[in-house]
Amino acid sequence: MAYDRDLTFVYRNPTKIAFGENTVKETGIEVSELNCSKAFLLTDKGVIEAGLAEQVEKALGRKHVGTYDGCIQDSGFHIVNEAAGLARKAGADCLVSVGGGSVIDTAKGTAILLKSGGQLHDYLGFQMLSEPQAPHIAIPTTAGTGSEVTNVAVVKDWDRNQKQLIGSNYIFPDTAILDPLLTAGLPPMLTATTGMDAMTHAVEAIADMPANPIADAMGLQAIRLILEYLPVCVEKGDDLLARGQQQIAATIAGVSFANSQVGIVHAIAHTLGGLFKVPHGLGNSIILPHSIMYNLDEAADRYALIARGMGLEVEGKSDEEAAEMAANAIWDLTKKLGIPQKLSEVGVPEDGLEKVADVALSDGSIVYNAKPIFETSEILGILQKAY
Amino acid sequence: MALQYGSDEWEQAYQEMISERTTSPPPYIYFTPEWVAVYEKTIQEDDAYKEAAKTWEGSVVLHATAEPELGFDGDLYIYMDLWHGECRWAKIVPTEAGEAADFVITGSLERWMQVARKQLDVIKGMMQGKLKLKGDLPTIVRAVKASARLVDLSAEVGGTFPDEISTEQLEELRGQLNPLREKIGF
Repeated sequence: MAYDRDLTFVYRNPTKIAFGENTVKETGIEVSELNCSKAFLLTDKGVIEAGLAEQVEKALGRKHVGTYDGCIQDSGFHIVNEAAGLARKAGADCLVSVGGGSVIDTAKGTAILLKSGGQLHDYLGFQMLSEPQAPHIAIPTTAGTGSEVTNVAVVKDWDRNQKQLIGSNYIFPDTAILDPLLTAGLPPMLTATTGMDAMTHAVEAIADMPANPIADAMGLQAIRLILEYLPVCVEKGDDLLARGQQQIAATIAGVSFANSQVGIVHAIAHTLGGLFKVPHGLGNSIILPHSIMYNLDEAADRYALIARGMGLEVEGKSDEEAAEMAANAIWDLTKKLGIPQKLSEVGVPEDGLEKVADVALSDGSIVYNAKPIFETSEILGILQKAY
Repeated sequence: MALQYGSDEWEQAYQEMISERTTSPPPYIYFTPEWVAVYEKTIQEDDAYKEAAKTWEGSVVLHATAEPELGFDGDLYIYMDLWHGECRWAKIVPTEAGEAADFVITGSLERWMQVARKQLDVIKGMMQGKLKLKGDLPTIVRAVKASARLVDLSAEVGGTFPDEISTEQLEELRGQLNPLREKIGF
């Protein structure tokens, strides 16, 4: 699809990306390259138990000044405050996050408090920071979040039971270390759902209103890699080629949506996570094909581009037909991966759908959706189809 | 010394300033007090805004950072008191009052001129780092339609852009705004 002449965009991808098996052993060198010497590690208990944090601590050697392992799924402001207090006490001059999206986002919040002080509430909104924050090396242990290359932190406001966004060009991590060995132990379902998170990032980035050709290129390559390698990762978790390619896919899908944003799928998935603890990738996976059908009348050409990127036989098909083929391809993929395809299968009560629709309408992602959404009834329609 | 913001004297001085500066008919220069007065009236009379903003509660500030080369030597805070589809009032206020608003959208005067000329979409502008938003995101997200209407109206008000006037007119504007800034405190 050609863009109109009025296309304008800003493309940013400031994060250094280091990829390869055993790259994690170079974490100490990366700390030095940031002109730092006191690295504070943020992680969660699962990563500790898997022995992954220990690898990073060893790689840091004397540069390691402390570890916080209290990160949890749906990290909260209180957790960021606690981590920042400990990092400050340890005299940290940089942060190393080891984990999934919640850990990396917690570190982004911690980087803000370490450098700028105050409370995280002070920085809610868009572009509220005016200078670089504490240096941050992100080491993802899942292949989906993309948070290692984005300028957004999602942190839950536990009092309001809603996820909050902090968006700033000063919270891109400085360095992302992608080591396929760190994802080799991920269980199949977690591999599948986090992988579908990456797929959702790529699809929404290409379809969203702020789409641009460079983000498209990243997103399309991510989609190709995910279709080829995610099923391999799920079936044969120790296939390091597949694990590495899926990591790259997740990261470039992150670059894509950092420059184009996400939409209704994420608005709903954030809410499903906040209200009913539906894992983020699982929520995305269920809603994604329904979002394509919902957005069809506004963005069929964008989804047709995706269908072509998927390698589907769209010759002679209309954009609408090609878009439907893309939605069907996603259903086929999630079926193959063994991921539940209905909200009714993942613990969401039917009488909770209206609440989900209501809260999702306030999610920051929704403003970028391919089709403008102003009413809860529109979201409820998507949820009912996905139930 | 500036009058105390919110006092009767301040209100009276502000209204007198508007009366004096609106003796000649529009168009006025963007982001001047008289332009804000017309903007206020335009919002108040707009049915589309009333409908889109019927559930909105809270103050919104359009904050333009100083651009001396365009005649604006200090920051400007256009404060809009918005309540359930009504614009109760819109005025240029002192910094402290502006920063205390529920939502503050900040950009350089040049960026705001791009918005008014419909060359820059506010949402994209925030994403791209051209504009800043301070405030509770979930609340303002629910008011995207109303916010978009406010922006549309800023373009519909019309006016003369500061980069369209001559150097002499620019100096004249500066000469008018600075004494007002001292008296009213903006």
